Amino acid sequence: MSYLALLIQLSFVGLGSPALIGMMAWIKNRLEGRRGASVAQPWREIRKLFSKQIMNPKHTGAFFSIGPLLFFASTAVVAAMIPLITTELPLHASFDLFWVVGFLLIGTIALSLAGLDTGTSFGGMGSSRELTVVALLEPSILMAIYALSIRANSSNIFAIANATALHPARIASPASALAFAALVIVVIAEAGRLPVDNPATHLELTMIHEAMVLEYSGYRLALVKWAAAVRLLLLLGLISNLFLPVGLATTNGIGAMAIGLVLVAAKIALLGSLLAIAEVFMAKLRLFRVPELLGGSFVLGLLAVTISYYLPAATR
Amino acid sequence: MRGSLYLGILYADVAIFLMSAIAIAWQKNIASQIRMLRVSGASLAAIPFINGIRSGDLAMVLVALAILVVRSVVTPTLVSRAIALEPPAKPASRRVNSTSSLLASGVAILFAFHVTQPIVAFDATATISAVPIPFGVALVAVVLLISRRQMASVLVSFLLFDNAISAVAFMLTMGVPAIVELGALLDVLFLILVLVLLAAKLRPHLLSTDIDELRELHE
Repeated sequence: MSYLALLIQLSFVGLGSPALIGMMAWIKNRLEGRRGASVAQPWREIRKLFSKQIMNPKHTGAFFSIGPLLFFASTAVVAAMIPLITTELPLHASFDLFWVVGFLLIGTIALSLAGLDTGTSFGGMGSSRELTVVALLEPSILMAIYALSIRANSSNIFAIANATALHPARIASPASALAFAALVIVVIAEAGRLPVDNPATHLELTMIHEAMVLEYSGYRLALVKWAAAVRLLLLLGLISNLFLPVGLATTNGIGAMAIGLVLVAAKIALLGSLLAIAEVFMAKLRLFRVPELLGGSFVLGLLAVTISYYLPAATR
Repeated sequence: MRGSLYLGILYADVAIFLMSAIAIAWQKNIASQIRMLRVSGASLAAIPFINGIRSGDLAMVLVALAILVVRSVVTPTLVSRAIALEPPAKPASRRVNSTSSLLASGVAILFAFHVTQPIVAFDATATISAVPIPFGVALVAVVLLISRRQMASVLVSFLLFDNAISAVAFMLTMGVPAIVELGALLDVLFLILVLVLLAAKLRPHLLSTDIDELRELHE
């Protein structure tokens, strides 16, 4: 039964993520006074790219061809170890939040190496920028996760989500609020959204993620785009279920899972819309101001850890 | 109000208070600093308000409303009026950049947790356990006071400091007598009025209110 849950979760993530991207683009377009493409547009693009021919730039090596595969595979693994619909996924007792961070990092590094492998200046520039952001991101992710795991006495994602579901009052603590703020910044940077990176532009001075994948075409580009969409969906789902695990099924009954599916889709759609609305009013930060943002996120995480040690939980 | 609900609301409020202080340390833009100062004042007013509702103490609720008006509406508006008269500040008019100011604030709050341990140990109720947070905000405000140069941001830091002291008082004592609290409120209000007036009188004679350049009068 738990494998059925896994199957449902993976198909929800795979099918839902392009729709999430499409919905966010549509909201942004409407708010900027344009008509906006249909929500299914990213789907059509990915399907189209799968049937296109692939091009290999001269002198590229193995990393160029396996980079997108690793990026997609690592993201797919993360999709199988996050409690989105139910807490009863296969092997759930062994999935740590640190694993999620590690697997996401493997994908990022694979793609950065692929960007370097093309030998063009854009690829190298994008990789160097991406790794700078990731290196600054890592400490604040670890701090925020640390703060969350103190609350649940475990760094297992499922244990944290369960503890929150059992004691909803504990969420109203300064530590959770700070950890939430830190994680939101981290998610925005990790998913490459404004104000850290603008996924909608190919302006050479500012792009980070797009610069790394500039040379890709065909199914490789489709995999990269798809995995990037999945990452955004997973990160939003992770935030919503760590801080507001309403509807997260604790059994594998069909009814409970159906409620879990509907509610998690609604929460992710809500977070995505908020993000899209916020992005309309935001400009991209200068690259040299990004460390400031991530430094702020680190301080918030550090304070969250300190406070959760000193302050008793609100239920006690 | 049930105990756990009361604590949940109080802690959430303290969290907002702390985050507004961090946001003030983070922001470069003075207008958004003042906006966060309003948030800080409102979350300060919420502390006696919550306590007053819980203990059914009407005087406390009235004090809370007075604090809300003064700290969140009147004084920030006065400060923003004062800047409206001012020529736009030079972009780099501070001694430290945002990141170091944030990190210093983080260290100040860690230090506050260490220093207030005896107070917390003396009477470790859940409310008093949260005292290190406003205490830390007071230290953050001191860090900002010594690291900022523009008159307006110094004023904002000073008001933040004052908010933090009042918050510590409210959390430790569960309410000082209303007359004392009103006295403190008026004190701050007059201080700000005097400072703003002084700045307005000085400005025609000075080129800027950047405190490092306040060395001589220009004729």
